[in-house]
Amino acid sequence: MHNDQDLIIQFQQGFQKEAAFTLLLKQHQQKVYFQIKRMVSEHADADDIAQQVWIKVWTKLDGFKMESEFSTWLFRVAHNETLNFLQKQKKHSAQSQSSETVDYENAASASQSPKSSQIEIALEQAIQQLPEKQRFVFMLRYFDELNYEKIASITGTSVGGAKANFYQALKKMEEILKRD
Amino acid sequence: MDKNTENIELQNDKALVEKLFSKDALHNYEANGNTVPMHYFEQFEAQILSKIAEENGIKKSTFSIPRWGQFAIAASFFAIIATTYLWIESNVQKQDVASNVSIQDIATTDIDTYVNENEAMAEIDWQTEINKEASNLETLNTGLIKDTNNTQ
Repeated sequence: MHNDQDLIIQFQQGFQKEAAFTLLLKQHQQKVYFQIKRMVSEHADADDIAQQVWIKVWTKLDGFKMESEFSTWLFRVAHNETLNFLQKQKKHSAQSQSSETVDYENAASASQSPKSSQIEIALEQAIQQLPEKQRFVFMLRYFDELNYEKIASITGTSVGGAKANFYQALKKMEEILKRD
Repeated sequence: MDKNTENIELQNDKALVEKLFSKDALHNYEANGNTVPMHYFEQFEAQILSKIAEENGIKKSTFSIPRWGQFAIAASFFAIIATTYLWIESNVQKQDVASNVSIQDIATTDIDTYVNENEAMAEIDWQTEINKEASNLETLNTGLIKDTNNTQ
């Protein structure tokens, strides 16, 4: 395991730039991919976004001042790229099916295996109905087990805002469960 | 916040989620999300590097100026602009001096000094001086003709 900071310095000095970048990619690619995948569900979409994220890292890493941890910065890039994708997707789907309502139940059950329990389907439905920001914070908190400070840096909110997003997500999911 | 408190807070938050949904459901949800096509990550690395190489290739083929070159161009522009500015400024000042000075602004003592210094020049009788120079030249010319005849 290589130290992120050393690799970034190596990259910024232009000394074996590609080798340093490859090591950074190897160390973080899975976390970045899964963070994106949880938000977009489809592998093809997650792959596209992940590629954009790493190309952005290549172009912007020279200007990275190491004021925050590399992983926080990287997750923030991934967060922004994912939000951009979701917003574009939302616009596109709003144009193509403006009169139709989203069928969360079918969408959730279609992606589950036949053995999925009711509670698993309910969980997926509830997560899909969360607003993007709350969904992001929920995923980072529960699955990535990040502290609120890091979540706040990634999502560009305050610590209080990140906490509020998490508890609002819980409340909303509870309402969805009761409603269904 | 210390690590221990942070950890307790995390466990409390996780417990709240697990109260809504079962731990198994959450675990399965995560496991489903964590599936990727075979060798995806190995191929991903190569894919990204080739994309970067492609992008760099495109960038290299377009006209690019290295950083030191950009500084040199910027400095040259600055020097040209500064020189032009100074030149225009000094010309304007000269013009200003000439056009702004009127006879009333010049002190009488300065005028007196100027007249006194140039008085000798003003009193010269130019016609007499010219005639004197002409007769000198004529004398010289006559002398020269005589010398030439003697040698012959």
